[in-house]
Amino acid sequence: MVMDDTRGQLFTVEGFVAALVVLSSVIFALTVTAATPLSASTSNQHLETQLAATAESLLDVARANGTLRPTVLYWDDTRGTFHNASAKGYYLSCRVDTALGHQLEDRLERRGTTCNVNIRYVATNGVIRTEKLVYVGEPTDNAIRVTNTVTLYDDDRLRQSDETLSNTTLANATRFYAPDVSPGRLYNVVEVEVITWRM
Amino acid sequence: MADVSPVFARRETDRGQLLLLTGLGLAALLVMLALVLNAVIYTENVATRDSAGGETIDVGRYESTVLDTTRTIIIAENGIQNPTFTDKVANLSTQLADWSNLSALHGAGDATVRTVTLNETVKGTRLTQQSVTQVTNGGGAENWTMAESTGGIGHFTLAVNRSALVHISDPNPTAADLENESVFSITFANTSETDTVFIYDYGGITLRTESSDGTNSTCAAADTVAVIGFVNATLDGSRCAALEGPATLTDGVTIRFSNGHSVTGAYTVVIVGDPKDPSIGFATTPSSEPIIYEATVDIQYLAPGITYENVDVRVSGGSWP
Repeated sequence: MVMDDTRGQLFTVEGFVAALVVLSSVIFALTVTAATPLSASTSNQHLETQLAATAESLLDVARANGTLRPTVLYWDDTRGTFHNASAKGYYLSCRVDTALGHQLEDRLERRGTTCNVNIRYVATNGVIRTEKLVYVGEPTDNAIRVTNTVTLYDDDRLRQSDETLSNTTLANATRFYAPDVSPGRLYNVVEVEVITWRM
Repeated sequence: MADVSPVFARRETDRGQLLLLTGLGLAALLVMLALVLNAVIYTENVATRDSAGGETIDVGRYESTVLDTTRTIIIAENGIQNPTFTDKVANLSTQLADWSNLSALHGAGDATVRTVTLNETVKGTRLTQQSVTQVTNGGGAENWTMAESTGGIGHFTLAVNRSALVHISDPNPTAADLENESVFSITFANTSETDTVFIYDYGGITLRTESSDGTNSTCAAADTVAVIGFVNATLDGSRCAALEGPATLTDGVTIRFSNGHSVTGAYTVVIVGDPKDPSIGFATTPSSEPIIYEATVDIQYLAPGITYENVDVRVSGGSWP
């Protein structure tokens, strides 16, 4: 009787192929699966949503209780910069010396997040320009951005360093960052933009 | 030659194929598991996003800004002394259009289209007596009609001096008694009700309201000067039951003063429409000035995923609703 002993090689090949297929499928499964909501990654959607809600409510409350406009007008017209700002003309942390700034520090900076605050205004040529109020650094990919609109009028008065009203109106200011782009009592329409992210 | 090898030996030749098939099956199972897991995670991710709600909030925030800005512009225009209602409306329209254009520039950067346009305005009149003097019309008459069937009373405050009021000794005088004593009074009347408010001195500044339904009510303040709020029903800052009846007569109301020589005071009244008495003008004492009582605007907000239009949104020109 002659035994056929070449099938052992075939068995081996089939075994290798089977292992290869299983291994490939395992690697494929591991690479295509996205991070779960319970992962500690900073791209967590829940955290971003919560951060956006915090920033939006902060600006809405500031608008409602009248602390948003004083921050926009917290301008030293003599130096041509915000009061108590750094040599670069803007704050280097969220702790601006206004009521809104204190809220930014309390609700963002002290809770593991940081912020950039920009004031976007309309220039005389109709282009939107930006004046930095706070610049901490370059935001991460998962930073969120919220805005709130403030209307400025010719008779709005700048604030002093202690947030009290100064005698300088926007119509009289010489070095205010935003120009008077309307012939009437309207001065400009600015947007306060808060960009925040987790540190 | 016949195959006489055992049966189990013949079956062992299929073992490798079984191994391969099982491996293929496991691979397919793992791939399907990965796909299902991905679908679940993605679904939960999309479900927790706030994109639609966020756009709705932006619309609400924009509309709130529009209403605040429109009100601010109207109040500012009403505060500028200008005898021409047309000028005030034109200024409001121009400033609102400027604001809309500036706001639209910001919106362009966010891929949104935002516009607001002035729709209609309602003319009102502000009548003012700033100096503390007798409540007479421009010709000095003490019995005169300030407004007739006005569309509404937005504001009515009168500050009176106790020293100039008629002194009444009766703690519960009738309307006839008060009229006989030439006590100063203001009558608010519409088609269904008439309330007459008598103002005199009885141990203090006293208000007594006689209604056409036969009821009456009294309130008093001990100060030498008191501010009467007819729309808010207050006397010297406190709630006054005697004024609650007149306070409800705000539509189609005629306002008439009687015995204006029996009082000295200053007042501000805002009504819908024009005053009745032709002797009161922009440069007289008392004076009248046209104002924007209220306005309506049309708001439009377009963004990817949301189209919002709201027409005839009413904006009050002052502290009245």
